Amino acid sequence: MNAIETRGLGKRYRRTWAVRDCHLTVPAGQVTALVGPNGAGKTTLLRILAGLATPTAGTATVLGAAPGSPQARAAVSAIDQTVPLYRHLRVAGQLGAARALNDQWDADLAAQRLSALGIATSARVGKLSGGQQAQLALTMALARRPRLLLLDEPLASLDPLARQDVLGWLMTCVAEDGLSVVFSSHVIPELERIASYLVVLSAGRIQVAATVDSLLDTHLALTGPADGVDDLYDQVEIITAQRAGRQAVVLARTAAAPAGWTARPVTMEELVLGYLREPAARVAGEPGLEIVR
Amino acid sequence: MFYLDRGSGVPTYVQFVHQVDYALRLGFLREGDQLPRIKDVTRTLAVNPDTVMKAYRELEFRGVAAGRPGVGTFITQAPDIADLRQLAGLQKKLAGWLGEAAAAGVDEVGMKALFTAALRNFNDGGGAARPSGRDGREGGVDRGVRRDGGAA
Amino acid sequence: MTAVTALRMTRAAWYKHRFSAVGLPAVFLLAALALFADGAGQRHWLGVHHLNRCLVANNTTGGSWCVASAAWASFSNPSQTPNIIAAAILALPALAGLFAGVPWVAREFESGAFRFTWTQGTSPRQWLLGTFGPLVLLSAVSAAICGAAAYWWYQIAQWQDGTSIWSWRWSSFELTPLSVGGWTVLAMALALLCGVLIRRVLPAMIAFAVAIGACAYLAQSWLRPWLFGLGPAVKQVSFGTSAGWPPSTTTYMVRTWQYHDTRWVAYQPHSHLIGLELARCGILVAVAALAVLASVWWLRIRPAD
Repeated sequence: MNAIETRGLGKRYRRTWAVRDCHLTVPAGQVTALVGPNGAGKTTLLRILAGLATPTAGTATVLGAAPGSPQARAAVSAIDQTVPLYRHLRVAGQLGAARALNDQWDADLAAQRLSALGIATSARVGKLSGGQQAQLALTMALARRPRLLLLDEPLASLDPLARQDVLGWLMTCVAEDGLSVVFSSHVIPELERIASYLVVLSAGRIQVAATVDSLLDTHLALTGPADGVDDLYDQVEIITAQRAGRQAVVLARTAAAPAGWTARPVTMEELVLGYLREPAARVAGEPGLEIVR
Repeated sequence: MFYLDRGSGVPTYVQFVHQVDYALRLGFLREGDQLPRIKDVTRTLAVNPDTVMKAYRELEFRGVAAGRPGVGTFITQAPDIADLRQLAGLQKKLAGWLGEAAAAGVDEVGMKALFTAALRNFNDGGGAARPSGRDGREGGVDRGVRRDGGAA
Repeated sequence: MTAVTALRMTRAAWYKHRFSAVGLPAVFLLAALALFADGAGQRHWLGVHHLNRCLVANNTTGGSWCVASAAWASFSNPSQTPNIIAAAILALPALAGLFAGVPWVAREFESGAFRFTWTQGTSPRQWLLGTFGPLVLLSAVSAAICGAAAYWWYQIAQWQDGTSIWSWRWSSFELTPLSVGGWTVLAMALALLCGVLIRRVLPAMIAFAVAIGACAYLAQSWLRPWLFGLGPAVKQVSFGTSAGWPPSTTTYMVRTWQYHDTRWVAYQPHSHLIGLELARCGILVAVAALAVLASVWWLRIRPAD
């Protein structure tokens, strides 16, 4: 079963399309990074998948069910960018309300994690720091024992140590429970070690949607003479080219370096930044590697 | 036991494979030792479990480790290398060379450059032993995972 | 919605809206208590001064003994207080809707908390009906209790405003359990609709105030005369004679007409009071149900964005 499947998904607000023509097939068990400039449509896409917005065009399914349907609600946890909580309640009341609203609730997990983080149950939610509120939201999202977790930049408010701890916890949930995660991120350097699937959104359209492995296998960083770049356009599929004096570095989608150019494997960071620089470049969805557990 | 060198640009799973290699060569890891459990690595380093699995599969492909379902991954065969005494002797000679270079006024960067150039020349001449695969096939390090599913 | 879900929603509502859930019925019940205390006090006072026989229907003057009695004079000294209190009681449903009902829904949207609620295991419709339903039920019951206390209180207080006792005047008709309860249900339903349509607290409150004001105006100026025209009794009245006329001072005259020398009067006797109360309450509840359905429908076509 695919974690996410969208076909021609589009959402329009008044006259502008926030997302358009989105075709996505993300297999289950992946950690998907959603990357793109501000206003590219990441929040809209995540809200549609969470059942908080209805698409104007196309369809979307999460774990085989329509977003917002009872099956989807039971299996999908989502934390919106605004970290929604009942801010006038105390932590105990917030947990109680969450427990009342959910069939599956791991109260022990929630209690353990909150006490490990030092968040008192008598504290008022509105008085917690931004990082603590994010931790609370994340704890509640995972206490529901979901199969898919949608995160819209929720880790931005965490300090580096907390961020590391949370990511470690999430990765362990992926390892142990087969949790699928989709998170939007601006922190490109950490994508290589965390993400196994990459989606790049640009101006509401999907630029890249493929597994990290297949992307790194099919792209190369070519180094060569700056005046040879124009000829190179006929030989390989160039994503982006940067000239520095007499030398040029080219990100290309190719298996081997043409004559006169040296190739080296491309890093995840270079790949993502390259695609972000060239909104017109696109990679169609590649079949991912079968991960056998 | 694993650590991450974040700025290096080397893929994470390759780093793990190298780290196991070095540990084996220096004797920190021996036959029968268990490699860290995947969930321990994910928790402490915050890496995708697939990355750890890829590293372990590469090691399996090379015949260095083997997975036991439900238990973990274990070192099966220390690479066929010079024994520890020879290693100690080599290390002493290397320390001597470093002392001479320092006395000649070569700094650390210069030492690295000298060594890297010498190693490249040596490899171009076909000198160093290559890591061997399970069936004696050559295994590469750069993109060791294969589309056809790798080691079955 | 199953019973289990309804119970869970009630629990969730309790966590989120403890203040409203306790405060709203408390206001009605406190008012009921105050009315009960005042009414009991009045009755006691009247008993002490032997004035009970003066409270006779159709007899505003109370007979010659009552007229001479100083106690009775002080008791029936006309004042606006009963009318003011009656108006205050009737304002309670509107205030309940304004300060408890509208924020209940609108703040969920305005604060963004709906993005939490709707990503838990329940749907927007379940959340809306399941948490709002118990509140409406609770407030309707406590409003009915308040209305019953007001009715009981008004049996004595109606003698104090200097006008004739008449079962169809506005205060007599409105201060009943069916009336106060019905208006509360309508107010909460309108609050729900305003909250769902206008997802900001202050504009929704203004819209609600306009809506409930419009309903009150329509009820008074259009619904009331129409209701009282339903199924009246008819009596023939002899021309020029006062025998049998007025039919009784507690009745409501709908119309008179004359054919040749004979006059007829169409009127609502006192016995029809309960029937018309039920009819009016039914209409209020029906409009409330429409408002709830409209809310649910609107929520379905425009859930979050």
